Amino acid sequence: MMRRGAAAAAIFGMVLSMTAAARLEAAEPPRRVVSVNLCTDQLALLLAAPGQLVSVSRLAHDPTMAALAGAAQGIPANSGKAEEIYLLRPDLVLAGTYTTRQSLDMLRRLGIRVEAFPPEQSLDDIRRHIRRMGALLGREAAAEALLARFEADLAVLARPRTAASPLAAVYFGAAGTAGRDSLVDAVLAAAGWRNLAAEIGVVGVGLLPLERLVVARPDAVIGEAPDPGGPALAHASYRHPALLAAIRSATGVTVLPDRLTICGGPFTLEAVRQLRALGDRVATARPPAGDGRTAPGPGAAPDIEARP
Amino acid sequence: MTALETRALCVALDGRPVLDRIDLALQAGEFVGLIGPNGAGKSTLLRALAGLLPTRGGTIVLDGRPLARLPAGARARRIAYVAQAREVAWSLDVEAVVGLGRLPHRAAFAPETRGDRAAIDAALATMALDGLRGHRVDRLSGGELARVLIARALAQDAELLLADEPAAGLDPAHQIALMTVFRRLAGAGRTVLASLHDLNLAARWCDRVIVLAGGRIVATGAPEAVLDARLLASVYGIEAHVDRDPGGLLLVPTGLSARSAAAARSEDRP
Amino acid sequence: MTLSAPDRWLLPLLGGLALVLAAVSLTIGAAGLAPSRALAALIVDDGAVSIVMREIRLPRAILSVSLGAALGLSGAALQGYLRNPLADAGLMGIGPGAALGAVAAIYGGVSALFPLALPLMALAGGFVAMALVLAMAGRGDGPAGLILAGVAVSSLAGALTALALSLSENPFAALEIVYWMLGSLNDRSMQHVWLALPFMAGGGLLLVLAGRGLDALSLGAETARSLGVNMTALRLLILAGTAATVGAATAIAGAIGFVGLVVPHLLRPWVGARPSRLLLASALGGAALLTAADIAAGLVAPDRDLKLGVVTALIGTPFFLRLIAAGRSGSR
Repeated sequence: MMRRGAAAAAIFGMVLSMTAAARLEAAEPPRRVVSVNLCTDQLALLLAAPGQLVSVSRLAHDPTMAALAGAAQGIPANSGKAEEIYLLRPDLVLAGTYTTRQSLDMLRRLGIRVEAFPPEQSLDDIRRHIRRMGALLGREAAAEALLARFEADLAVLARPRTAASPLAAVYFGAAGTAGRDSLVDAVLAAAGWRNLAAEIGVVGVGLLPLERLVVARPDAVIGEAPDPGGPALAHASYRHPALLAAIRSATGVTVLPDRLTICGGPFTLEAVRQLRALGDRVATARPPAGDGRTAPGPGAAPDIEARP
Repeated sequence: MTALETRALCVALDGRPVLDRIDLALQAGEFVGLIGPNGAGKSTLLRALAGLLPTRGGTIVLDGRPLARLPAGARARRIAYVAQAREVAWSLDVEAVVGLGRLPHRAAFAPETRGDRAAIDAALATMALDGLRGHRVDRLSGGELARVLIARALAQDAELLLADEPAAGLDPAHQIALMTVFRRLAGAGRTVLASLHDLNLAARWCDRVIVLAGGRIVATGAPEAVLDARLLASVYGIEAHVDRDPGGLLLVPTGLSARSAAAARSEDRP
Repeated sequence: MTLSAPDRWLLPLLGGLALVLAAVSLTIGAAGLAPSRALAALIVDDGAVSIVMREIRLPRAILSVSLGAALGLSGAALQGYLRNPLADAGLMGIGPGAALGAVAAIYGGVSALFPLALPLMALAGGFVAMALVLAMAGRGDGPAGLILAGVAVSSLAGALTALALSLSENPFAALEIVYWMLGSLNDRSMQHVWLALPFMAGGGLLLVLAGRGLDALSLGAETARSLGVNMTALRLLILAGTAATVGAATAIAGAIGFVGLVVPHLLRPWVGARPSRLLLASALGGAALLTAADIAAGLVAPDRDLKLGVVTALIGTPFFLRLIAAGRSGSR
C-alpha cells in the first residue's frame, strides 16, 4: 500500500516537475513550434523565425482555405492527433479553442505547453492575436512591424458604415450567413457596407431565410466559393429561382474567397479591398433617386458562381 | 352434371407429397362431406380444388375446362372458399366482411350495385346475422365469426362452395342450421364440399361422403353405404356403435380399436 | 357499438382541412408579410413579395401537401399489406433506404449532371430496402420478424448514409446528416415540385389501385387469393408504389417520420377499418398533418430551420400514446 502510494507520488512529482520545466523554458523563445489549427498556422507563418515553425495543420496547404498556402510549402503537415504531435517533440503547440479538447488535454498531460486561440471575430481580434503570437514566439518586433503595416493599409481602405451605406446580403446557402460578431461582418463594416444578417439580429454564424433576403432587396449578394471538394446540399440553394431573382435585382454579386475570411490576419484586408471595389461598382450603377430598379425580367438566370 | 373433377391429382407441400392420385367428381346439386383423420390431407385437397396450390401431377377440371387455365377473377366468381383459419386483420364490421365476398363481381372502383346489396343481405339473412350487421368482427364470439366468414363465402354467389371445417366451434343449433343452409344450396343446384370432423353431421346431412386417409381416397359413396364399423376402425382407429333412425345413421364412438389402443399404450410407456 | 363509415363527410373534411392549412402556410414565413398582401401577390405582380410567394412559399406549400399525402398514403398501404398497424416507411427501412439513394445521387455528383437521377436513385434505394425487409421477414410471419428486419435495414441504411456523408470531401456534407435523418422543406423551389410530383402521383396511383387487394387481404392471403387477388401483382404494386412515393418524398425533403405511422392509425376507426377507404383518407390526413407541422415550425421558430421530422414527432407522439392507451381497453 505504502509502496504504491509512494510510486503514485513519484509519478505525480515527475509530471509536476516536467510542467515546471516547460514553464521555465517558456522564458526562452520556443524552438520547435507546432500549429494544429488553420488560423494559428497563418499567424505563425507570418511571424515565426526561420526554422522555428516545424509543422502546420494539413489545411494550411490547401489554397482554397489558407491565404498563406504558398508560405506553408515545405513545412510538414500534421493531422492534429496527439500522438503525432507528441512525436514531433514540440515545446509549444498552437491550437484553436475549437480544436478537440481531448487531444489538447492529452498533450498538456504529457507536459507540452499548449496555447489556444479563439477564432477571430473582429479586426480588434486580429490585432490582439498578432501581438499575442509575437509574444509567444518571442518575435515581438516582427509583430509590431506587421501591425503597423496592417493599420496603414486599413487606413487607406476603410470607409465608414452608415445608415446610408449599401446593403449586402451574405448568403452561404443552407449553410447560413454571417451576422454580428463575425469576421465577415467586420470586413463589411470596414468596407462601408451594411450587413442584412446583422440587421435582422443574426449573431455569428446563423441562418438567413431566403424570403428575408428577397424582400430586403439588397444592393449586393455575397456568396461563398462553391463546392469545396465535392457537392453538398448547401450549394443546391444557390440554384433557387428566388435567389436568382434577388441576384438579378441586386447590382452587385460577388464571392468572398474562403481563404480571406475563415481566419483573421493582414490578408483579411484583401477581402475589405474587394468589397470596397464592389461598393464602388454599386455606387456608379445605383439609380440617382427613388427606387428605379426594375422587376426581374425573364432573362437568362445569372450564375452566381460565374460572376467575378 | 359434373361440376368439378380431378384426375390423378398429386399435390406436395414443401416437397412432401400430401395428396396421391386423387380421382373425384362432384356433381351439381350435391352436398359432399370430406372426412378423414387429422393429417389425411383434407385441407390440402380443398385448397388445391380452390386453385390455391400448385399441383404436382394430374388435373383439376371445372365444367370441362382445366382449372389452372381459368383466370383468377373468373375462378373466384365460380368457386368460393372458406379457410379453416378464421382471421380478420382489422376491426371491420360484419357487413363489410360479408361484402368482401362481392369483390370478384365488382370492377375496380365500381360502386356497390343493387345485385351486390341483395347478395349481401341474403347471405346475412341466411346465416341469421341480421342483428349483428354493424358489429365489429373483433368483438364477436368464435362461433359468430365463423358464421360471418361463411356468409362472406355465400355472398360470393359461386356455383361451388369449398368449406374447410365450417362447423367447428359452432353450437349444435348453429351446426344444424349450417347443414340446412348447405342442403338448401345443393337443392338450388350448387355444389358444396365441406370437410367435417363430426361424423354424425356428415352421415345425416351429406348426399355423399369422401373418406380421405394418408393422402388417398379410401372410400366414397352415400353415408349409409360407406360409414360402417370396419371403415371407422381402419381409418380412424375407433370402435363405434352404428345405428340408424328415420333421419339416417347414428354413429357413437365408444373407444379406440384394439390396434390403436395397443399403440396408445406403447406410447404411454417410458 | 356500430362504427359506420362516414365517408361522405370525412374525405371532404380532410381535403378541406388540408387546403385551408396550405393557405395558412402561405401566409407564414420569415419575411413577415401581411397575409392579405401575401396572398394577393400570388396573383398580382408585387415585385419581391411576388417572388417570395411564388418561388418560396408556394412550392413549399405544394410540397408539404403532396409529401404529406404521399407519406400518409404509403403508410396506410403498408399497414394494409402487412396487416400490421406498426408498419411504416421509416420503421421498415424504406425512408432510410431512399435517403441513402438520394445521398448517393447528390454527393456522388450524379444529380448535378442529371437532375432525374435524384428521385430515381432515391426510389431505387427505397425499393431495395423494402425488398430486403420483405425477404428477411419472410411471408405471413408475425409482426416481430417484420419489425426486426425493418430495424436492421433502417440501421444499415442510416449507417451507410452517415458513412457516405462523413467520407465526403465537402466539409458541409457531414453536417447534413441531420437533415437526411430528420427532414426539412426549407427553401425548396418549383424545380423540386416538378421533380417529385410525377413520382408521388404515379406511386400514389399504384397504391390506390392496390386498395381492392388490400381489402381482400384482411381475410388472410389464402382467402384473398380465393377472391381472385393476384398476390404477386399486389406485392409488386405495393413495392413500386411505396418506393416511388416515399423515394420521391425523401429525395426532396429527407426522411420525415411519423406521418405514415400515425395518420392511418388515427383515421382507421373513421373509415370502418376498411384498408381501401383508409388509403385516400390517409393521403388527405397526411397532407393536413404535414402542412400543420410546417406551419408550427414556421410559428415557433420562423428564422430557424426547425426540422420537420422533429415537429411531426412532437405532434404525432401524444396522439400515438393516447391511441395505445385507448387500444389497451379494446383491441386494435
